[in-house]
Amino acid sequence: MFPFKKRRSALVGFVPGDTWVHMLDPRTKLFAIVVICLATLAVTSPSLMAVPFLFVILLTLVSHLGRHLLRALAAFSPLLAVILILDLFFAAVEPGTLYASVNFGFFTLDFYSGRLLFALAMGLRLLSIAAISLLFIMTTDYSAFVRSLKAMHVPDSISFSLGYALRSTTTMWKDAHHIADSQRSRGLEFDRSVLTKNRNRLMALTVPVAVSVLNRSGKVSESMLSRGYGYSERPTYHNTPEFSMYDAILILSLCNMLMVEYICIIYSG
Amino acid sequence: MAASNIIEVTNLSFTYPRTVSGRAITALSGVSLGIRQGEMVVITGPSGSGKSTFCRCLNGLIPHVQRGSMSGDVVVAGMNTKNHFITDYSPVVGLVFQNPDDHLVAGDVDSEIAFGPEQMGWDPAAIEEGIRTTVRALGIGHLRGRPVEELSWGERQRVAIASATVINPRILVLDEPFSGIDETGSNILLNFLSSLNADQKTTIIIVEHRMDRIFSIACRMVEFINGKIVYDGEGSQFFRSRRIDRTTVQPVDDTNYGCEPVSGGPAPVISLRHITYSYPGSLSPSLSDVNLDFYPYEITFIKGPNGSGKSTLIRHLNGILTPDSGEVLLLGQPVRGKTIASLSRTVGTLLQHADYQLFEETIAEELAFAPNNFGIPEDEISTRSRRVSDDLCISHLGSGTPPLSLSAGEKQRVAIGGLLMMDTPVIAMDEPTIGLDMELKSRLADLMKKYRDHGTAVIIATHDREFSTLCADRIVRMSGGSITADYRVGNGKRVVPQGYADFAGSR
Repeated sequence: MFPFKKRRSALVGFVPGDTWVHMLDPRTKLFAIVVICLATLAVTSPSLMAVPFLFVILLTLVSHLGRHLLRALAAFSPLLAVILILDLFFAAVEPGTLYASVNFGFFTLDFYSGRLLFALAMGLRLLSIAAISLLFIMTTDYSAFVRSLKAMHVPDSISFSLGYALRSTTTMWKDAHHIADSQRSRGLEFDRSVLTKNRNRLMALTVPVAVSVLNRSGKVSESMLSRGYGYSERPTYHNTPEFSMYDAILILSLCNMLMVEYICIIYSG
Repeated sequence: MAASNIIEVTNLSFTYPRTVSGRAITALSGVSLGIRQGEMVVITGPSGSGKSTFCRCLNGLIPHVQRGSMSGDVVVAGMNTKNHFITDYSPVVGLVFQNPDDHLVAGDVDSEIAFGPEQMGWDPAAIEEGIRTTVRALGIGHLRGRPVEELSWGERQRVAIASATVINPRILVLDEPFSGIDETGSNILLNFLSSLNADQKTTIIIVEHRMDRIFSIACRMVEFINGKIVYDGEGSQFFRSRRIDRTTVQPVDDTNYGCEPVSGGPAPVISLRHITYSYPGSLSPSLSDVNLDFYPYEITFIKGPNGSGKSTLIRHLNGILTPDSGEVLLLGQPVRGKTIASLSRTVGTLLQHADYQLFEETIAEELAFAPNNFGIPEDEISTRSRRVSDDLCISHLGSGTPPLSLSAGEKQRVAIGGLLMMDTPVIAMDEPTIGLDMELKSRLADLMKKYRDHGTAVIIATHDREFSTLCADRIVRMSGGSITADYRVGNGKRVVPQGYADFAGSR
């Protein structure tokens, strides 16, 4: 069946909650994304790569979003698989020991220890970056995100555009749901097997969703203008974002993680 | 301009750009109107008569954002819309769109209501005070802090109204504000608008079809037909001239009908057995141990306050939602495991929001969508298409017109047309009368009776009392996800023609 028949939450979108990850200042979460990216990009060893990866897992567990995150990551699994296969057999690294060799007649696939470790490291890197980014989307309310960007003196037009992009991850999914529900209610089969066989049916969903998203963005901008967007040069905030103790703890933990990794890099030469 | 008029419209005409079918729609034609500060004006008229377009002219969306050709002048609070941008009107004119989804821009209720005051640079304490006062006045204090996406249509509509009124605009323009709001919410809104008008001398302009809602507050009525004003005068005279009085616009409360509890009778077409359903992340179930039977030759109305589970129930009838526990039986067979598409051959469902029901390029393709999926021959599709177009008065719109370019009421009728083209033994509709004027509602009610008389089970979830008064055979009341009442109206008798036993087989 179509994957969203049983449950109705968005694949990638804000999931309301009251965990302390949800309550973190969006700026802290943005900082976490930057640090995790740095920590994974700075190293190529799987053991060092595991540190930021475990950190992301810890955040996921605390946010109670493990199931949601796995579901979203599953959607990216084909891309991850392609990258892993390319790294496993064609990465330009020291190949190391030959573990096994499989002959397919015209070409041979060799499994080298060095490439295997490299593929593992790349897998962890991609998973860490994807997971922390998804965690940001799933725990950050659109309005809080815009407020925190404005508090950083990001221009209004950029704050609202980025915020709207974040919100669209949820609304686009919901629009797709509504339209697909309506089409199936009028006799259109939407089983996955039918979709892969008949691209027209996929287009029957894609085009109205695209039109709906475009229409909605136009209407939202009309509403914003009607409600005073751009009226004052210095808009105020109803709830000014404030750093909490949790933000401080997370920032310290992230800095410690970076430091530990840096020390490991130095000691491992 | 008359000195005391806060709105002065002179010879206003507006034509939308040509659609791909080459049709240019003239929405307003030579409209002239003056409205004084503190007036309460109700604008009415058939669907597609230019009411919403007129509203969009009042804060400069036309001509600054909406493409099209405009002539004439609109002067609001001394500012001509040709010379002033929309932002200049934002502290003066609060505009609430017909569809609350077009209005809401933030993620949660507090941020939504705070948006306007924030943009106008209000002090945070003043914003908080404004939010508190507004939500109290509108009876939506319980919605504070909730994500907007989780709210029902009626709840979102009330939040949209709160976000427009929080800035205390001198002019408040509301486009069909009662369409999705329940009985209690409507009464609160009526009181709120009356006190705004009386205490703060706010000029209030309401576009509304539902006479039962506006009868008590319509001091001045303006009627649009084909983009022209055909009536502008006292509300009482308007109602008198159309023979509308308090008894005709205030339908008898259906709880007072001579009614009889539902029991026995022929076999049901759809049965719900101990249905419980919770949306993901929701703390309380949207449906809780619901047991219901729906019968042929019967029009059942599902009523209840916003968020009571009406739409969730409708979505269970053709398998869009699968219950957490319990089962749905269609003609005695469980629906679990069957695709929605296969169930749709028996249960035709019209969901809320016409915008989501329309996805084809032309009206003709929209109407033919379901029959094409069912493999119905072309000539039969043409016959059905002509019949449905005549029944719903959409023939004049042109079969090549893109459905999304139509007015709200026209879109709604095309969406209903798409449903009726399926010719199913069960018709389920969620708020089908949004955007429909009284005449169209009456026509739709007659149409539903006709389907009922041919053996169709008609199930309608709505807040529209006028509509239920026109055609309800049975009322099911819901509250908090449970059935609180289930009874037949009128004489309580259901007339089932001979040969009913063959019904299931023949369909």
